[in-house]
Amino acid sequence: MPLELDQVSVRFDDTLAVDDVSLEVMHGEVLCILGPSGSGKSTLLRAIAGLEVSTGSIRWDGDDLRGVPVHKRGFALMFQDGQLFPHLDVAGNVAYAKRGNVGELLELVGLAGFEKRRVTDLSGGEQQRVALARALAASPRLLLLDEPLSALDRELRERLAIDLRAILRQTATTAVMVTHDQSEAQVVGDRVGVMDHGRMLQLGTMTQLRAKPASDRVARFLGLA
Amino acid sequence: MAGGVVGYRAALAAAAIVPLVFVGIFFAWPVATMVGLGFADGLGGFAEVFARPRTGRIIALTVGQAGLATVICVALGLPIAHVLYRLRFRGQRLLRALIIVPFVLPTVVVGIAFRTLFRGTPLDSSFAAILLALVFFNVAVVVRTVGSSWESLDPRQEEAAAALGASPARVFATVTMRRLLPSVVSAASVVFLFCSTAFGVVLVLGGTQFGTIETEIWLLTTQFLDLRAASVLSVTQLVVVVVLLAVAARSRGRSLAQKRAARPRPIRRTDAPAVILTILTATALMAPLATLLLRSLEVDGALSLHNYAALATTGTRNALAVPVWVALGNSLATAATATVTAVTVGLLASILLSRTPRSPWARRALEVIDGTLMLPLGVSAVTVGFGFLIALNTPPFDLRSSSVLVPIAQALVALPLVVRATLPALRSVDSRMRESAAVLGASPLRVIATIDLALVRRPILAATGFAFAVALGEFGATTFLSRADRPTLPVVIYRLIGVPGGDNFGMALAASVVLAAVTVAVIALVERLHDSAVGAF
Repeated sequence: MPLELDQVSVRFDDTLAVDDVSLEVMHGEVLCILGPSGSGKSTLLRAIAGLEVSTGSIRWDGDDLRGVPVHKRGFALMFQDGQLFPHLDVAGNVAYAKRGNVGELLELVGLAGFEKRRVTDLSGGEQQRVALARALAASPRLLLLDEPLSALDRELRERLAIDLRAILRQTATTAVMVTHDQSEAQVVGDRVGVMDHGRMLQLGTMTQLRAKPASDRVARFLGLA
Repeated sequence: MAGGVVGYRAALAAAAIVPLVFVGIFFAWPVATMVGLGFADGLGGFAEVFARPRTGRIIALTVGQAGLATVICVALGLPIAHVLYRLRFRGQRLLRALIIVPFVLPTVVVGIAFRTLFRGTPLDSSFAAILLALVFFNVAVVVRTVGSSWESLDPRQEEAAAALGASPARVFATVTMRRLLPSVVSAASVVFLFCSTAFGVVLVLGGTQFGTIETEIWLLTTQFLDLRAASVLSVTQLVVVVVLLAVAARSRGRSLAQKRAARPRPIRRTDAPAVILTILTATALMAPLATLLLRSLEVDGALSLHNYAALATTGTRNALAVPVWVALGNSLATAATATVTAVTVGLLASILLSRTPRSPWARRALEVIDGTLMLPLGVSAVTVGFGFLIALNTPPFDLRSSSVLVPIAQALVALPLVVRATLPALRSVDSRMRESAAVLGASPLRVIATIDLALVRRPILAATGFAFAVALGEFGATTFLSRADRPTLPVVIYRLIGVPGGDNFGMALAASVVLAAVTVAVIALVERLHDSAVGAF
């Protein structure tokens, strides 16, 4: 099993941001973690990336990642607001990880010919596409997406969610995406995990969750109650 | 509504007039008079002064000293800024205080502390001693300026780079350093400025062998009475200062606004070198001060309060016109006047500069005012003092023999620091808050009183304390202007080391300790209120 989390917790001073979460992700699978803000879903993602200190075990292909620094994990992380490097142009950003073909990647994300554009001149949607190309250029073993579409307006978000799904499928990328939008989770994710107050409430396909929500809270969050 | 807008504009115009008139009369005019003196016979004066071998040597020394000191300050300051502003650990506040304290100490005190430290060693009055003293003062500038910018950098860019596989070194080089660069350039230009215009410390440590343009101006004016050469050097310095301040201001303008600040993180093992460097630096910074204190308490190898008791006298061979305690009283009174002046003028200027008017013309005007107000920071205090002497010597401002010149000169030196400490705070006040107050019926003056001033009370208090400390230690202009019967403490200390023998050196040590203690007490008081009295440049 590529990614395995076993009883992972993250503590900030006196609050338990992530509380005893276990999960598995298969090759080429996209797992969406769904939860309200403050549910600990982003912290869980950062722990997988190696940006937060956690307890429990995080394994990749059976190897424990404890002590492996962020840049040696071979994962890539995409933030809500892209975090593009403003001093580099589009091509400079995409080529930051020094792998992959910039032109092909830009074509993949629908921005063919954007190489020399300044990232500060791009629209929000275009910036997120560049951020996605930059993350994919690293040929990550695992792509971590932290609310990648949340900063965009509704219509664009729906269109980009479909594109994102297609791109991840086409590149056979294994990914974990965090979102608070259940329709987004349904479009992009193979499976969905619902989190609240640091705990993983339920994990499964959207169809399974809809058919059999484990609790009232899950049902309410899926808009069923 | 129209009446309200007019009233608001009138209030702003009033706020603009006071600082402009103050800086105009007491800075622009004296400096312009001096510039005129340099051009008295066209460019001939320049050609003649620059043809002197001594001029070339002094300029090379000034630039070399300042350049080296700046490089060392940046090299030390970057890792220290990281440790003090991006990490969190016990004892951090103390370390911050130890690193910042030297910046506020009077230059004469630092000069004497370094002389005491190196007495009897080859370093005594050497180029290296001057260099170390300049670094001693200015590390704080780099740490504060770069640190506060580093503190507010959104860490997610670094995280994104690391997640893309960049090693920590590559993340630092390609992301962190790129974003810190404006603040590093700004800090470096200000440090270079401070070092190349350093006066008190160079005068005390350099003797006749080493100097800066600044000490040379002083020497030419007071010893050789060569006013033309002095003014040629002042003009040269002025040009360099304007260029450097423009660089600093441009870099400040380019700092990117950040959405989210970093959460300081606990120390990791990889931080060890930087943490050790910080602790070593803080310790090294305390060494001259500790030596100063110990030596002041020592007479003929035994512990004694004799040097302190002698502060009630006028020194061996009547070196002084008044006892040292009287000079301390003068210093406190003068500094208080200077502080009230600097804070009043500086606040009015800051309130004005914090507005963003719609018309591009008005915005441009504000930029020019901002730049002009920074000039006294770099234009040497000696030049200011010298300018006072030649310009304020004829009616309508025959103030030469008046005792108001000293506090005015000190206020001028403190003014840019007041502006730099209060302006960022005033700028960060959301203008919608002012608009809400106005919509609720508050007059423009009431908006300023109940919104601006209320929200930035702490920075104002901090700036007041800092201005007081600066005025208390001011030496460059004061030494030109203070009347023989009303000397300030720094002037008295310099006089004591100039008349060797007897109790005089010991008294200079004791007086330095007293002056340092008063300064540190004032700063400690305001630092309790606010930890950034030393504004970021």
